[in-house]
This record gives sequence, structure tokens and C-alpha cells, in this order.
Amino acid sequence: MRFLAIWVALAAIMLLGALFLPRSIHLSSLQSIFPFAAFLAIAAMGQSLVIMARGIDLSVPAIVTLSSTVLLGVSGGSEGNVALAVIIAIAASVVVGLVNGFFIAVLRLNALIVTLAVGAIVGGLTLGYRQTLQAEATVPQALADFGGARLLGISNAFWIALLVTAIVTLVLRKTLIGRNFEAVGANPQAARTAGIEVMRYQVSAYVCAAVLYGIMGVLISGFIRNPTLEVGGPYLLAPIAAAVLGATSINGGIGSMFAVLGAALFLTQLGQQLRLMGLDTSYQMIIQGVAIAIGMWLSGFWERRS
Amino acid sequence: MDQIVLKLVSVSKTYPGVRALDDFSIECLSGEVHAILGENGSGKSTLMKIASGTVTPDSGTVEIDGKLLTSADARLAHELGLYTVYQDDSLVRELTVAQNLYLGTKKGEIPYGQMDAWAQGKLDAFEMPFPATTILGDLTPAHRQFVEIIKGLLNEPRVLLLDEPTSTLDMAGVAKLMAMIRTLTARGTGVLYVSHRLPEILDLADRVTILRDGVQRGTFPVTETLSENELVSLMIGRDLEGEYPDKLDHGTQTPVLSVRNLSGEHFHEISFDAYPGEILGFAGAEGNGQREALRALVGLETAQGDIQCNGRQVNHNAPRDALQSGVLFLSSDRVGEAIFPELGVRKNMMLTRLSDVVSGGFLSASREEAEAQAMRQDFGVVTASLDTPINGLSGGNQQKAALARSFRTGARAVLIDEPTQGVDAGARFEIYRAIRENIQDDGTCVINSSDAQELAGICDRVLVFSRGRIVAELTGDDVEEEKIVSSFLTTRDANKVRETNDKPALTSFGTAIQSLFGGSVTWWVPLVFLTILTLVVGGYAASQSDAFLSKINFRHILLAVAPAAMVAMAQLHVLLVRGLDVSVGSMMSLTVVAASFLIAFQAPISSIFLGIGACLLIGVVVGLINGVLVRYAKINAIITTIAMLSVLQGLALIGRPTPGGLISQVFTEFLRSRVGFLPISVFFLIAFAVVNDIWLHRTRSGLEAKAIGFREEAARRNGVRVDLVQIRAYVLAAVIATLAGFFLSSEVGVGHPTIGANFALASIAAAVLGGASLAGGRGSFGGALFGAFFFTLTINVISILGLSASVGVIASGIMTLLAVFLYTGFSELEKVLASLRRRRIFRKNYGAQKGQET
Repeated sequence: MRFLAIWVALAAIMLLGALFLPRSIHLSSLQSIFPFAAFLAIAAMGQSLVIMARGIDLSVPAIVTLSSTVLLGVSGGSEGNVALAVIIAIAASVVVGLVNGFFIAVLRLNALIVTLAVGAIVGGLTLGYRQTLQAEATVPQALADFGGARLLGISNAFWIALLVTAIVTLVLRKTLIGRNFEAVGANPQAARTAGIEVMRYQVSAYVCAAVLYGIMGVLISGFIRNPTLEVGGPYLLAPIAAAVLGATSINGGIGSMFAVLGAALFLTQLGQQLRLMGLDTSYQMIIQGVAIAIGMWLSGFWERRS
Repeated sequence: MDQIVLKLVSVSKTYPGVRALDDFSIECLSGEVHAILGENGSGKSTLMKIASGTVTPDSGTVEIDGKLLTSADARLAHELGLYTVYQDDSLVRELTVAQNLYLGTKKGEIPYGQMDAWAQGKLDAFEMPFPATTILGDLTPAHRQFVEIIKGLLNEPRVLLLDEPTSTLDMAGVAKLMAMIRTLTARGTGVLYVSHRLPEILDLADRVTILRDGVQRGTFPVTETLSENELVSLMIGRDLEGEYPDKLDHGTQTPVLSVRNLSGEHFHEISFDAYPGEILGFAGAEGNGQREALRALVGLETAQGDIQCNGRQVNHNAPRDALQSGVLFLSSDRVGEAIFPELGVRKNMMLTRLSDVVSGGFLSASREEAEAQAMRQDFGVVTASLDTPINGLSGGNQQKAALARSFRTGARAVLIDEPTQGVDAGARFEIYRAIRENIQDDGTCVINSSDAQELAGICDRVLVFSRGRIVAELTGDDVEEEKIVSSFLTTRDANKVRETNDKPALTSFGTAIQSLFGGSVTWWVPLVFLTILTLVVGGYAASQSDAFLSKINFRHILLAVAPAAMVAMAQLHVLLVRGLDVSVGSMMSLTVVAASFLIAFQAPISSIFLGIGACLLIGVVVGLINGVLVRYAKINAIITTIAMLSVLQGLALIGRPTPGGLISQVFTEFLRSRVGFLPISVFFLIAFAVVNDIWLHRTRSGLEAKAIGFREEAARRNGVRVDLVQIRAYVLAAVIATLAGFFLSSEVGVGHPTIGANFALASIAAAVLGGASLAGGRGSFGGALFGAFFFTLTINVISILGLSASVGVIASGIMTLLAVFLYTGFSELEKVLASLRRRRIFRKNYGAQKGQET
């Protein structure tokens, strides 16, 4: 029930949309939200992994922008080598994740402050690096083609998001690593007493999250084609909102990537409907804030009930 | 003298599965020492909690000094004249002795300025050998106990509750305590005295009431003829409630677990052997080092010594290392260290066995199910389904599941701390049977328990601990309850207690670094540190650029300091009570936007004032919402303020989607006006910091805020209204952030919706650079002001030197990391390095051991 609630909510707003705002459930409208839902979903899954390990990550925008900028820099324009650029972009993200993990899991510094500060540093470095690149740089043509394309009517980015959901879910549910990770989040002291290398799993949470942000940075760049330094901006709070609405437990351990995917669809569709109603995108931020509060309250609710 | 000062009539209390207190009545007379004697779990602590008003009884009444305690309210009990001395549980270690005593006085009783002299007088009256200005944490546990007792006497209580007051005292301390108690009783105070130590009771008490299984077993006057043996047999002698499993008759074999000369902070030179198939018990009154010794075997306490399991050296660096040599520990702190409360029963039981059910890299659900079902059967875990979260089970079933995991992990030596704590009577015997049946033929089990009957029932051999040493070994027929209890109750070797204080051991380098930076106890150290940094950065800038020292640049810096410093002080209010407010930056943005409407260009003076008031009102509302969500809805502070950040930012963007809307020039020019060379804001900032620092360091209210930050529970026990102070902190933070927003408005002049975004991080960094601690309680407003100045200066220097804007952003990030790292990071780094070092040394010495089990 806990993880199904968000899908019910999604169905509910779709139904309301069908009744009062038929445009919002037209195929073209739905098709247009899929890529954005995909970007949010992938970032939110990273955030969820961090929250499951009892942390919080405010370096998402910085890592997404870094990945996107490195992609531009390494590929060097529309004729560039996509594979190499993607690998290096994700590798750069991993480095940031490692730095976060080191400060938070090894040195036990406050996760919020570390990720904000590391985000600022990475943001500054990215800015400096971007200034050495062409102002109007575009991603390689192959990536742009991929990012804009659809398969069976659904954006490629969304298929990737589904794939990521499946892989992360498989690892979390079906492997020893995933189960140990869950235990570390649920009760780090008990996990340590039971002989699990707690620190290693906590660092991995930040690294895996960074990989997801890196992937998302690549996808969004392919979609936009000529990304700017603002590309990561919207992803500071939205992934947190999606993660908590997806019933990820702030007390650690419990989370479902499938529910997070639902939450990303929910938030994106909600934003779309607000836009169609003529409301400014700023309302989206208020909704995010309220969603975070409601999600948190609900999360407490599920835990009190059991 | 025979007035009744405390009277409990027919008090009963039932916890799920346990009748803690059953129709219990007691009277304590004025001038009397009335001892309560009972084993662990006999209901003593419930009795104390009911008498002191922290627990509501199911039935029965409490009368203090002839007045009825109408509700279970510790403050009411206190006002009626009852004071409870907890084992240093109402003290704040980071504060001085004087400040701790002061928190125990009534409001307005002693002027703050006379605190030290007054406290010194109190200490002198009891001939305490330490000054009142000592930091409490630097005292020995025994001295802390005395401070707690002196605090209890401040308000001349009619009745004093003492809970095991001598557990940390040495012989001289006990004598001193007894003298204090006699002075008290001579003045007519009644004392209710709970202790394990019979000699003291016989020495001190006038009457003794025996408590057994929650039932009163009689009250006796203490006379010359009453002997220790009589008391022991009165307090035990409960009927066996069930059958214990058969014991083992073992011959001499090679031990499975062999410990030699294990010493740590709470235990010394522990040596013992545990044999195959045997259950070995650790006995002793609470707090005699037996628990710590057991935990040290798997590295949960630091210890030196030699441990061998199955002939191989055990690495007692961390539980994981110990497990690899076949030693496993199950903690008594079930929720904290043994189970994963929100996870299902299957996941809890199978966690350490998952490698058994992996096929082809993935877990096999069917095999896992089969194994889990088998464990459920073998250990008799009663649960609706294996997917039920384990916190939905009874204590007994949780413990069975934890035992199942422990025994099936494959360890040779299983160490169990308090196997049946919080378990109802029925399940207990099933647990005993499960333990006995599941010891492998080549394995062994060590149990620490505070229940002597339990040890007598299941152990083949018992080691008795006193003051951190093994003082007796009971074997064969001697393993019976009465012998166990009397062997630790009658120990008189009180003089062996080591005078240690329990500060974490840091190397001198780490200590020096830590006291040098951020969280320093000495308030001026961060200021000196910041001064040096400022001189270095400023000096460098001056040598590189002439523009830096120009008047106009200086004034520019001073103007830019105002918003940064105000928001840092706003943040400090929340940091002090151990919170964090990420929404202050967007509060500033919202204020700037609100000002562009409410304090608009060419607005008349009167409406400017109205506008200022309206903006401040927004701040109050935001702060209230933050505070209430954090304190009453119990939503994590970080998440609450992140949500608030989003909402405020959204509101600001709705107000002004793009920068626009001029703000009243009268208003902005006033804020930018100068007195001589200096901007008026400088005077305001300094005055504001001074006022706040006086509040923090020179008033009771400030002291209470600090106490909450250091230790909320202690503050609450001192009668501080914790929720109120916390909510006030969030309101102050939001209002001061609004003021910061005003200064920011005067800089930008138009409604800019995202101008405050970077101030959240800067506010934390500046406060921490100025000496604030993220762990609460520490900091100064002057420091926060200086921190913000340094922050602004650095950004200015970067732009003066013509470095790119990105360098400024990077610098602010690095400064923040550095500030938090210097405060806590160093000691953690040392811990990690020490652990790595121990591991490496172990590998070097014993790395050749083959075939380590996993």
C-alpha cells in the first residue's frame, strides 16, 4: 500500500484532468511530459538511494551540470565521440559522489552542508571549465538524435528511466548487496554489529546516486542539444519531493524505485496540468514544498501504523 | 519528626506483558532513610518513576508532603517538594558546575552575575575539592554524582529520591555521601534510597522495604540483628515459574573461546575460557563492567588483550573482524543495535545468511523462504507472516528472531547481552530452550544478564564482576540464584574504583586542533583564528592590489557584510538549539520581493512603516510554521526547512517572476546612510551582536537555550520548556532573516526573486567559522558577525584580484567544508585512521592464519 499510494494519486489527477482539462490527457501532452518525467525519475532515484542511507543530497544540480558540461567539452561538438564523452561525463560525476561520500560517511560531517558546499565547489569548477568552451556548443549529433527520438511513441529517455528502475530494483531486492544496503539504512548500528561494512555502503550510496545524476545529465543534454549551465538548476528540490512522495523513508532503509518513478510522473503531470490551467511555473515550487511536507508526514504515518 | 513526607497508596502499573508494580504502598517519614531493596526487574525503577511524577500509575495515589500529586508531572512533584537524583541525568556536561547548579534554581532566585560565587558557596558547604567554574564533563563520575546530589538539595526538598547513588563512588565518596544524607535527615528531609549494596543499607537506613516481582514483601526496621543473609533471602526466593533446560555435564576439553588480560576503560585484566557446548554467565550489579567486557570481545568497546577462538587470534577491532574469527555478539539494546525495526521478519532473520541462498548471483526467493520458515519453526517465532515488520512483533518474538539470526550465522562463540530483557515471562523459557538447543557441539555461548535467577537457570558456570574485575567464579551446584546475588551484593572492595573521566581519548594533536578551532569551549579562540585568517587574506590582497585598501572598497565590504552577518546570526539562533534552517536564504529573497510591493518606490513614510511591519509579520508566520512542523509534527528539521525553502522561493517568483519593482529610496538610502566614514549598518550589526551575546551568555534564558542544544533531556528535567524555546528559535531565525532581507533590499533596490539563494550556505559557514557547533549549544553572535565579515572579505578580495566569479563560488564552498571539518572532522579522521592502524597491525601479526571463517 505504502508504495502504491502514489500511483493511485497519479490515477486520480489523470482522472480529474480527463474531467476538467481534457487537453492534459491528450496523447501529445502525455508524450511531451515523458522525457521530463524521465529526467526527474532518474535524479529522484539517486536522491532516494541517498535518503535510504539516511542522508540528503543537495549537490544534484551541480553534478547534472557537470556531467552535461563535461560531455560537451570532451565530445567537442557535433561530430564528437559519444561513447568516450558519456563515459568521462559519468566518471566525473562519480568523483563528486566519492568526495561527498568521503566527507559524510567517513568523516561523519553533516550531509546537508557537505553536499551544498561540494555543490558550490563543483558549480564553480564547472563554470570555470565552461568558459574555456565554445559559447554555443552542442552535443554530438548521434546523442541529439537519440535524445529526441521515440520508441513505440515513448521518449527514449523514458525507456532509459524504466531500464534504470528495473536494474536498481533488481539490485536492491535480489542481491546480497541490495539487502545489506537496506539493512545499513534501516539501522546502521545493528548492521555494524551484525558484521556489515557500514561505511562502504554509505559511500556507495553517494557514488551510485552520482552515477544516476551523471546519466541524467547526459540524457537531458541529448534532449536539449545545446545545454547551458542552467541545465541542472531545477533539480535541487524536485528529486527530494519525488523521493519522499515515493514513500522513501527518511529514517532510512525503505524505498521503492517503482514508487519513485510514479512520483516523478505524478509531479511532472501535475506541473503540466497547472501550466495548461495557465498558472505560472513558480506555483510548481510551492507544490513541491507542500509535497515534501505531505510526503514526510505520510512516511511517518506508514511507520506509526506498522 | 514523624510527619509523612511521601506516601504511595495501592499503586499499580502494568506494562505490556509485565505487571511492574502490584498494589504497592509505602510511607516515608520526615527525617527517615527508607531503603528499597529488590533485584533488577523487581519494579524499583517503576516505583521511582511513579513517585517522581514521570510515569502515570494505572491506579493508586501519590502524596508528597501531605499534598496529592494530581497528575504525573515531574515539575509539579518538584514544586510539592520531591526531588529525584538521577545518575547524572539532569546535568549538562558541556556547561560549568555553577551553570548546572544554577539551572536547578527557581527563576529569579539568584541573579545571573552572582552565579559563580553562589555556586562556590554551595560546593564549599559540602567540602567539594573542585571549583564551581570547572566544566562538568571534566569531573570524575563520582564528582558529577555529588554535583547532582547538591543540585537536588538546592530547593530544600521535603523528600529526596536517590537511585543507586553510590554506583560511581569510591569508599571515601560513599562515606561523604552518607554524611550528607545524615545532615539532611537531621533537618527533617525524608530520603527514599534505592541501592543494590547491602552493607550501605544496613549502615544508613532506618527501615527497608523489600520489593519482589512488583509486589511488596514487607517493611522491616533495620536493627543490629538484621543480617545480610536474611535480606538476601527475603529479596529473592521467588518461585521458579517454569522449567529450565537441562544443563551440560562437560569434562575438560579445549576451550572454544579463550580470553587473556582484556582491559578497557570499564574493566580490567579479564581472563576466562569458554568450553564447547557450555553456557557461561556474566553476573554483577549494573555498571560493574560486565557489559563493556562482553562488547569489547567484538570491538564495540576499545580494549587491549588477547582473545582466541578455536585456537585462532580474534581481531577485536570491529564486529565484522570478530565475526570472521567466529565470534558474534547480540546486543541488549534490541531496537538500537540488534534488529532492523521497519524491515520484515524474514529480512531480519536472513540478513547474515543471505550468501547461503544466492544462486547465480541473485537471491533465490524460494530457498530464502524455506530457510526462513525453518528458522521460524526452530526458534518458535510467532508472526502473522514473514513479511510483517519486526517492530509489529512482541518483544519475545523479536528476540527469538534476533537469536535465530545470531545462532545461524555460523559463529563458534555467540555472545548474548541480556537475552530476555523486555520479554514476557512465557517467552523467556522458550528463549532459554532455544539457546540451549542451538549451541553447536563445537560452539560456546557467553551470556551477560542482570537477572541472577536467569543466570542460575541456564548457565553452566558464572563469572561474577565487581568494579570491572572478575571477583568470583561459580561452578556446578554453586550456580544458584542466592549464591550469585550474595557474591556481588556483599562485595566491599569499593576502594578499587579507578578515577577516570570518560572523555574520548584523542591524541594530543587532535585535542589541540579541536580546541583551536570552531567548537572551542573558549569563546575567543575562534575569534583569534578568524583575526589571523582575516589578516592573511587582507594582507595578501593589499600587497596585490591598491584598490583593496581604498576607502570606497572598504565601505563596499562593510555594506555587503550587513545581510550576510544578519543571516548568520539568524542561523545561529537555530544552531544553538541543535536545529538547522535552510530556508533563511529564500526568506531573504521573499523579503526583498515583498519589500518591492509593501515598501514601494515613493511610498509615504507611514506606509513604509506599515510595510516593514508586514514583512516582519511574514517572518513570524514562516518561523512559526517551521517551528511547529519540527517540534509538533516531528518532521525532521532539514526536510521541513527544505520544504519551506521551496514554498518561499515559489512565492517570491510568483511575486516577481523577473527582477523588477523599485523599492522605496527613502528606505534603502536610510539603510545605506553613513555616520562619518562608516555605514550605519555597522553600528547596528555590532549593537545587535552585543545584545544577542549578552542574552546568550549572561541570562538564564540564554543558558537554557544552550542547555537544550547540548542535551535536550537534561534541560527538560530541569524544567526548561523545550518546545517553546525551540519554536522561538525558528521564529527568531525567520525574523532576523527578514531583517537581513531588508539590508539586501537596500543593496539591490528592486524586487529580485532569487537574490538570497546563496545565503543559506553562507549563513551556516559564517556561524560555524565564528565558533558555532552543528551539534548545538556552542557559538557566539560576535563570532557569527566576524565569520560573515571574513566571508564577505574573501569574496571581495577574489573580485578585486580580478579572479573569475567561479573562484568566489568555489572559495565559499571550500570555506564551508573547512569550517565544519575543523570542528568535527578531525576527531573522526583520527578514529578512522586508528582503526585502520589496528587492523594493519593485526594483519601483520596474525595475517598468516589460514582458513578464516566468514
